[in-house]
Amino acid sequence: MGNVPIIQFHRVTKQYDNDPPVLNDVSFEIERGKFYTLLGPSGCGKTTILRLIAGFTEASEGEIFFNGKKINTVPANKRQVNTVFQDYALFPHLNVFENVAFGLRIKKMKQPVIEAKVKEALNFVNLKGYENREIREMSGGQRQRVAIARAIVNEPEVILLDEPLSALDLKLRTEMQYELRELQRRLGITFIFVTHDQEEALAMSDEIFVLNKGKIQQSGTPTDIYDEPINRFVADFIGESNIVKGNMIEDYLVEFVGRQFECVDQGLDKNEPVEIVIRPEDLEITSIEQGKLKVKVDSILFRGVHYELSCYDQDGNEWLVHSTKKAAVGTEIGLFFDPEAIHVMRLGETEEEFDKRLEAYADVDQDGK
Amino acid sequence: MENKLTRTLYAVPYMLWIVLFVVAPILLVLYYSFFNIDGQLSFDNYEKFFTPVYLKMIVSSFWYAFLITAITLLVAYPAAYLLTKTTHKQLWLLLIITPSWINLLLKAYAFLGIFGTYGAANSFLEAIGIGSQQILFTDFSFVFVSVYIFIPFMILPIFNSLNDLNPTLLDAANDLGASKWTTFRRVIFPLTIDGVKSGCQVVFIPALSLFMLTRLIAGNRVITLGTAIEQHFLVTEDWGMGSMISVFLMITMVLIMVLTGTRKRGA
Amino acid sequence: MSRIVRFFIGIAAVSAVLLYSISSLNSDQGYSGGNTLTIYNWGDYIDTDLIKQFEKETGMKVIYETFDSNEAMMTKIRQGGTHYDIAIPSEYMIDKMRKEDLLVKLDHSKIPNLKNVDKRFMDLPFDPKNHYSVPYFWGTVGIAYNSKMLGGMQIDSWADLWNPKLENQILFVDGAREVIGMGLNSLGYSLNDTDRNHLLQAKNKLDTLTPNVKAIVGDEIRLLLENEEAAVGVVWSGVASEIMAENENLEYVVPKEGSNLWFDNMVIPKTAKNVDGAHQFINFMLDPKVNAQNTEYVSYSTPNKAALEHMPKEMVEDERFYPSEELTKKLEVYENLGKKNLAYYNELFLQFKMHRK
Repeated sequence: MGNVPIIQFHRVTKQYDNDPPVLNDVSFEIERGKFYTLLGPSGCGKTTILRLIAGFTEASEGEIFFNGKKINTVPANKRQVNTVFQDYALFPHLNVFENVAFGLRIKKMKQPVIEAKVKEALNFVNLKGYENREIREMSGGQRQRVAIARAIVNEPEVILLDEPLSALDLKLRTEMQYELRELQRRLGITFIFVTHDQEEALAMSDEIFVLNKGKIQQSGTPTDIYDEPINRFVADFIGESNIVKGNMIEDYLVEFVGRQFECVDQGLDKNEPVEIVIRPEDLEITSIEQGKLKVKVDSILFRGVHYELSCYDQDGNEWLVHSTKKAAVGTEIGLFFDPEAIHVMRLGETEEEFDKRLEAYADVDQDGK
Repeated sequence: MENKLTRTLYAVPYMLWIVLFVVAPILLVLYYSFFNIDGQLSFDNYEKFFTPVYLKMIVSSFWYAFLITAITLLVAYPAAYLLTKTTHKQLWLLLIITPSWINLLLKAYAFLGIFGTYGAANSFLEAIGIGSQQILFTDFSFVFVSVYIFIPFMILPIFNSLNDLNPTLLDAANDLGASKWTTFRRVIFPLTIDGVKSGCQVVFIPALSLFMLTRLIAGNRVITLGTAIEQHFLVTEDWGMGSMISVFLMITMVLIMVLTGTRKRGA
Repeated sequence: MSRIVRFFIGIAAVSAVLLYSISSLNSDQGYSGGNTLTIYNWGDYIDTDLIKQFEKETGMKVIYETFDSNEAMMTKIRQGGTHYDIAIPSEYMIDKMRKEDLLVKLDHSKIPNLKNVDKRFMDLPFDPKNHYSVPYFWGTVGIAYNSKMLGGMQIDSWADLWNPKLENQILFVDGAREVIGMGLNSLGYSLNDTDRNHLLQAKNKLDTLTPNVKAIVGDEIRLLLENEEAAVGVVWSGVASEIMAENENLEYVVPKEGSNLWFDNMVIPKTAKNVDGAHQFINFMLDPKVNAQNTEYVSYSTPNKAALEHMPKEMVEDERFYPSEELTKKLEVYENLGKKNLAYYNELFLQFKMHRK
C-alpha cells in the first residue's frame, strides 16, 4: 500500500463540447503525505485537476486512480478528499460549530463525538472559543481557518485547496502560508494546493506542477524548477528571468549576444539553437572591463532587499539585475556571472527528455569526480 | 443645513402619499369597524365576528388558504429550481410570469370553459376512459385554479433566492459527503427559506380573501372572508362589519409577516 | 440628467397624444354639448333604430351610455360627473334614489302617453302615483329548466326543486333577496317578510335543498344554462328569455306559489340638463308602436298595454312572460326593507352558502 501513489492521473483529458481541451492528455502521480502545488496562470487547467480529484466534474478521457482504485465515476460525496474553496464556501445559515460539524453530521456521528472532533479541529486552526460565532461575524482570515477546520475534521487522506489565500491581504497571506505548511506537517496528509502565485508555490511546496494550456510543463521540487526551468514559459513564470536566444557551440561552450561563454551544460548537438536563462540575482554589477556583458542602465527601482535595474545591451536585449549596489541611470556598467548561472534550454524539449538529460549530467559529474 | 432642508422637502410628496393612501385608509377602516349597521358607535361588529357563522368562515378561509399555499409551494419550488438550471432562464421565467399579466377574470372565465361538462378537461377524461366528472364548482377546481393563478407569484421570489445561491456551497456540501437530497435539505432549502417565506406571504394573504373565484369557479360553495367583505360593502352596505373583517385580515397579515420574517443571515 | 429629462418629455408626449386621440374620438361621437340628451341604460337594452328615429323627430342628439349594476349607476349619478338626462334603474333603487333626493319629479302633463301603461303596473309601493318613474320593462323571477336534460320532467312550482332527481342540478343567482325570497315563497310567506322566525324557517328549508344545488353564480348563469352545465336555474325572466333564444331545450316557468315581480323604470336624475328633452324621450318610448318595436327587440315584458296590440300574437299570449291575472296577483314587488333587514337576509344567505352537503 505504501508505495501506491494516493492519486494517479493516466492520460486524462477534459474537454467541453468542441472547445479546445481544458486539460490535454495529462498524467501524473501524487504521493502520500506531501505538499503539492499546482501552479499556473488562470485557465491553465489547475482548478480542473482539483475538480476532477474532488469529483465535481468528470474526465472526458483517461483514468483517475485513488489508492490504486479507479474513481472516475465515484460521486464527490463518496470520495476520501475534502476541499477548501477559493471563496471558502462556508454555509452562511450555520454558525462556526455547525459548519465544521457538517460532514460529521452527515456521517451520523454521535453528538459527543462530534463535539470533541469539532473542538479539536478548531483548536488545530487556532479558533478555540469561536464555536458559536456566525460566519458573517468572522474576518477573512478566520473564515479561511473555519474552511480548513471543516475539511480536516473529516480526516480525509487528501485535502484540496483552491487558491485559498487569494482573497487575503499580503501580510495575512504570508502568515497563512506558514500556518498551512505547518498544518500539513502536523497532520501528515496530502495537500494539493492550487495557486497562480509562484512565490507562494515556491515557499510552501514539496512538489510543484507548473501548468500551461492544459498541459503539465514541468514538475519537481521548488529548487529544481527554479534552477532548471525546462522552457521559456516556466522560466518566465517562476521568478524573474533574462531569456535570450543562443547557440550551443559545443559541450560546455555557448554563444549568445555575439560572444561565447563557458557553461556547465553538455550533451546537446553542436551548433544547436537554444535559449539561455540567467536569473537577475545571478548577475553582478561590476566595471565595464571586468564584466562579461556591457549594458546601459535604463531604469532603477528600489525593492527593499535589493535594487532592480533594467539594462539594455547593444543588441537591445533587456537585462534585469537584482543587486544591493546602485548604478546611475544612463551610465554603462559591466555585468559578471558564473558559468553555473547560465541555464541552457533546448527548444521544444519534453519533460522526459529533459529529466533524462539532467540525469546524464549527474552521471558525468560523478564520473568526473 | 440647506442640504437637510431640501432633503426634507423632497420627502414631502412621499410622506403625503403614505399618509393619504396608506395610513389614512387603514385608520378609516379601523374607525368604521366600530360602527354598527345603524351607524352607532359600538362593539357589535366585534361581537358578531365571534359567532359560529363567522368563526366557521375563518376556519374555512384559513384551511383553503393553507391548502392553496402548500400546493403552490410544492409546485413552484421544483419549477423554480429547474428554471435556474435552464440555459435561457430569463426567457423561461418570462414565459412563466406572462400568464399573470392576463386579467384574473379572463382566466377564471377560461377555466369555466375548460372545466365545464363539455370542456377540454372532461373530453380528456372521457378519452382516457375515466369518464365525465363534475369538476366545476368543486373544492378541487377552486384549489386548482387558485394554485394556477398564484404560481407565478410563488416562483418569482424562490427563483430569485435560488439564483442568488452560491453554487460552490453545493459543491462544498457534496464534498463533505452530502447526497443530493441532504444537500437540498441542509443547504439549499435553508438558504432559500427567505424566498419561500415571501412567496408564501404573497400567496397566503391574498388567498385568505379570494372572492371572485369563490363565485366563478367554486359557485359559492366555498366561502372566504373576502366573500363576506364584498357582500357587506356592496350588497348590505354594512360598512362597519365589512371594515371589521378587513381589520381582522390586516391583523392576520401583520402577524404572518412578523412570524415568517426573520433577520437576514449571511452575506 | 439629460436622459432623465428626455424620458419625462417622452412620457409627456405620449400622454398628450393619447389625450388628444381620446378627446377627438369623443367629439366624433358628438360629445360636444348643445341640444343633446344623455341616456344611461343597461347594456343592449334598447333598439338603437329608435334612438335614430327620436333624433330625427326632435332634432336632438342622443348620447347613449351603459352600466352593468344598479349600484354602479347610482354611484355615478351621486357623484354627478356626467349630466345624465335619463336613467333606467330597477325598482328597489328608485326608492333609495328618491330618499337621497337624486330624482326630478316628473311632469305628467308632458307625458300624455302615460295613459298607455297598464294600470296594474302603476302606483306601486316603490313610487306611489309614479311621481318619479315610469315603468320601462317588467318581469318575474322563476325557474328556467332544460326539459331535454330532465327527460321531459315538468316543473311548475318551487316545491319541485326539492325533487331528489334534481341532485346537483340547480343554479341560483347570487342574490339574497331572490334566494331567501324563494325559500319564503315555498313556505307560503311573503317575499317581503321580515319576521325573523319566518326567515329562519326559510333558511332551514333552503338548507335541505343543498344536495340539489350545484352553484350560486352571477351573470355566468346565462352561459352555464345555455351550455347545459346544469338543468335548472332560478333566474329573472329577462335572462330566461335571452337564453331560451339560444337554447331551445330551455323552458321557463313562474312557480305557482308566487314569486317576485320586478320593474326597470325610466327616471330623470337631479343632474339632468335637458329635463324637457327627457320628458319628450319618456313620452316617445311610451308610444304604442315605438314601444312594441322596442319590446320585440329587447324581448322582455312590456308594461305598455297599448303596445301589445302591435306585437305578434304568440308573444303577447306567452303565459311565461305575460302571466295570467290570477298568477300576477301572487307576484310581489320587492319593498325596501331597510338596511337592517337586508343585512339579516344576507346573513342568512351567507349561512345557506356555507351549509355543506
